[in-house]
Amino acid sequence: MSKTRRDFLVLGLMLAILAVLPLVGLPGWVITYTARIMAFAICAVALDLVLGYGGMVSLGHAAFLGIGSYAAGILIAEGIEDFFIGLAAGAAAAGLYALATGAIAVRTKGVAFIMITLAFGQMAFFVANALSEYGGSDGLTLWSRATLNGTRALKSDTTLYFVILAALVASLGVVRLVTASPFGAVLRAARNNPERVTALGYDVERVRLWAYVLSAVLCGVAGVLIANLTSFVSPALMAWQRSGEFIVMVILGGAGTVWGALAGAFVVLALEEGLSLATQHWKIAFGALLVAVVLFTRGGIAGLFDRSAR
Amino acid sequence: MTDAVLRLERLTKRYGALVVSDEVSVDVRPGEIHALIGPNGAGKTTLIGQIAGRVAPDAGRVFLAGEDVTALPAATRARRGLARTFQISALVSDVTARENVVLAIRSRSPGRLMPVPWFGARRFDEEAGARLTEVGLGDRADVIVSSLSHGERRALELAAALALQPKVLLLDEPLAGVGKDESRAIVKLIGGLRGRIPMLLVEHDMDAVFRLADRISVLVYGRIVATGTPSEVRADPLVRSAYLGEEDAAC
Repeated sequence: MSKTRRDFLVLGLMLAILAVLPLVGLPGWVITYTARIMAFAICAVALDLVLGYGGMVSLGHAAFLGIGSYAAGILIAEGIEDFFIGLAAGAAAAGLYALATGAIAVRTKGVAFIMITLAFGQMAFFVANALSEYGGSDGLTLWSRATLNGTRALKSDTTLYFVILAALVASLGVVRLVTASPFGAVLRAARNNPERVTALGYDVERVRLWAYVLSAVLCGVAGVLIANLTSFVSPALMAWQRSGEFIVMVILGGAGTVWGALAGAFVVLALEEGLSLATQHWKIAFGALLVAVVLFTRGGIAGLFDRSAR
Repeated sequence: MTDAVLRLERLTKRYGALVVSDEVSVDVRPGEIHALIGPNGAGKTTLIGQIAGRVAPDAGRVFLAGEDVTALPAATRARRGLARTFQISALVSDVTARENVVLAIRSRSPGRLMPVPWFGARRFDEEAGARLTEVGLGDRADVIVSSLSHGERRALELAAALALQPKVLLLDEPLAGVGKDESRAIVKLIGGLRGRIPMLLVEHDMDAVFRLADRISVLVYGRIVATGTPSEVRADPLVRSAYLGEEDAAC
């Protein structure tokens, strides 16, 4: 079987498991927690477009998640409860912030890019902290989830689960489509040799900027979903540690692969939950595990899988 | 000389007190191979940078087919017809030779940044194959670039540059680091393009330069000290003392 076919088989299998999970009688908290992981997985998949395919290490992606969730939360708090309006607002707000900050960030590379995205991420974090009308540093509790075509369908955790799963599938589809396109070919080529790509007549900064914006839009969508799932938005969503966590998901899963980012999100968040139940010093175990994966599996989980399948 | 494909008009670039380009004026006429030679540190790389659009000159202008492109960024210049190769082979190394040429071919088309897959892509693959055959890489098209030999990469760079269908081609030391046999093949390749595409050739290999060039300009300490046919340049006493003699002694 060709590598590509095998990869899509693995991805299909993972999504199939996610699709039947709510139907097998698991306790409610498992469904809610899985939904939460899927929302974060959208961010990992989105970050992979920038990091894995574009070679840009963004340490500010949590801001886009947070901006999306605040957009949705503020709309609900102000009485505009339609889900799709919230979704559009969250995506647009995150995209615009990425467009404005990315225009500056893509002029830099390497460590400077990491630092500048971190700085813009922290800016969003502190703005959210200062939003005293909307809870400030305490965050904002939403009294209801968004309405779907005027109904309260999203009150059901299972329905919301499937909405999030659909968004995850759509994000994977968008990233796949874009990376297989001429745009994606230029983005990947520019990761390898930006000078050559410029000499071929491509504006590398512009290509990187649009990848960055698209990635942010997907994170904004994830933010809207998280806001509805937890009925709560807070600056903690934008903490830079969360941006770091997204990077860990992508690297651990396998950057620039078909299903690596998705697997990474599940492994990281499930481990976090599992280890924290076992011991309060779980971060030590988690750190050791992370070092082992980076040292011994070039290309993350997906890379490990490739080698054992060969 | 208004019909020059590429014209540099009194290009000047200073780094602090050091004048790296001192009112450099050079023109490349249709169909000619114009070589630019000069000892190390003469400012050739900086000059190439200014032509390609990577380095902004402090004064002077660059004209491409009569049009002032001094203010345009490198990518735009490339689309307007200024193709180049690099001193150190610069290719996208983790994809195939074909993919490198496809990137160049697509760069001319309006859908070059289309964000969804392009189902008419076969056409590009075939054109890329033809371009690769042209430079003798027909059977190496689907090899990952990092597995190609140095000489093959040089040829591939040339194929990618030609796929842009440029008005003028900048060759920055195309023979640097290439072995003798491969070097001969590349000289032949470049010679074969004479008349089809005007070229500005920067090269250290004097045999190659005198074999290929229709005209030669000599750059010393950022200044053009002589321009003329190979025999004129060879006879120029200033050039002999500043450059050729020194080169002979070094060899």
